[in-house]
Amino acid sequence: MALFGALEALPLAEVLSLLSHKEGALEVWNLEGLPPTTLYLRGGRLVAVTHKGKPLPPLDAKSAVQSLLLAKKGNFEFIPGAKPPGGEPLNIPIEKILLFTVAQEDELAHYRPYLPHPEARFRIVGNAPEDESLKEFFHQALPLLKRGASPREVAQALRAHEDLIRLKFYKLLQAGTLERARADERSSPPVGVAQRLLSFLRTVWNR
Amino acid sequence: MEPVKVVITGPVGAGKTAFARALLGEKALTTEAPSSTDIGKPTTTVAMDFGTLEVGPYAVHLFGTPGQDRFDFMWEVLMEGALGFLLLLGAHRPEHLPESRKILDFVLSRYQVPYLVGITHLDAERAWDLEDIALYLRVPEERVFPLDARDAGRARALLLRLLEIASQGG
Repeated sequence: MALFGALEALPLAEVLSLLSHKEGALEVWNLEGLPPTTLYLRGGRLVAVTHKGKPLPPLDAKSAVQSLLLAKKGNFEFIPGAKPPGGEPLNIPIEKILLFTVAQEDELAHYRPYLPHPEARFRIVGNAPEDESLKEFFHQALPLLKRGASPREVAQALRAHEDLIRLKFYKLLQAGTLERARADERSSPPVGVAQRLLSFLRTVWNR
Repeated sequence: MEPVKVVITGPVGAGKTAFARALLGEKALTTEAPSSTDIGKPTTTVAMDFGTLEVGPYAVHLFGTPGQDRFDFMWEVLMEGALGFLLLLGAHRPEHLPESRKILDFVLSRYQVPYLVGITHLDAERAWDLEDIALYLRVPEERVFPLDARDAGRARALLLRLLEIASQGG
């Protein structure tokens, strides 16, 4: 019997909880903004993560799982007994992932009203943050943030969940590491029209 | 006539419609409709065109954006060729600050447009100071302007200040 379904009805955390003592591969696809991902489980632990069959290094794997846990749309299927193609680079207890999910969702829910607009652009003005998880993100996003980027652009480049990236941007803004980027000057409106209109209005309104 | 576009935005109840009426008088178009959800007032801005201020050879089109997030998709069209951008915000509604900052972050990082923030309801019993609002919105204090949106003189002063900024290149 196959274990399959849609994330709309069964979030990934629920599925992982169910699979915590099984061995095999959990394939997840049809995700919004995220590539098809496979999680390999063994003995209550996450032992590998692949994107299109390619094993991810530990940092990328962690980031992929964080994003996957927030996915609201997608399909999944568990393949019992499947082994990871590139060995077992990870050793993360599933229980720890599940606890992290709750904390992450709470944090996002708490800060959601204050998160920056997904398409607003920001750039680096401060040093790398002290916090380890932010530092990791900072270095991953550095090339984009140097020239100014929006949370959406960074999320797409890092293949991460947009809301997670907005939360990272929010924290970096609070820490003074980022500031609002200036718009491209090529889109500047004409000064001459403003000058002529101003002078006309001052005459008409006698100011 | 030479067309000029000024975009007016802000959270629900900030005074966008009152401001347009103060500038345009009887010529202001009705852009309001009964609100379908509880937003603290019976009507809200639903249309884009507040009307046109005709002065000599100029036609200053005032466009108002609805205060709700779901109208985000309109920005690109609205901002194209805009000579100025006004964000109105009530000093008595600090709960609207996050949404206002989000709008400013988006617009100012995407469009090189002269802008001002007009602060209404400063006479409310409890109201934020202009400098604190500027700090929260991450804009210089000189871009935050007190406004009684119903007063034609104050509305004109705000528009003139915006044009001064535009005359100096934004």
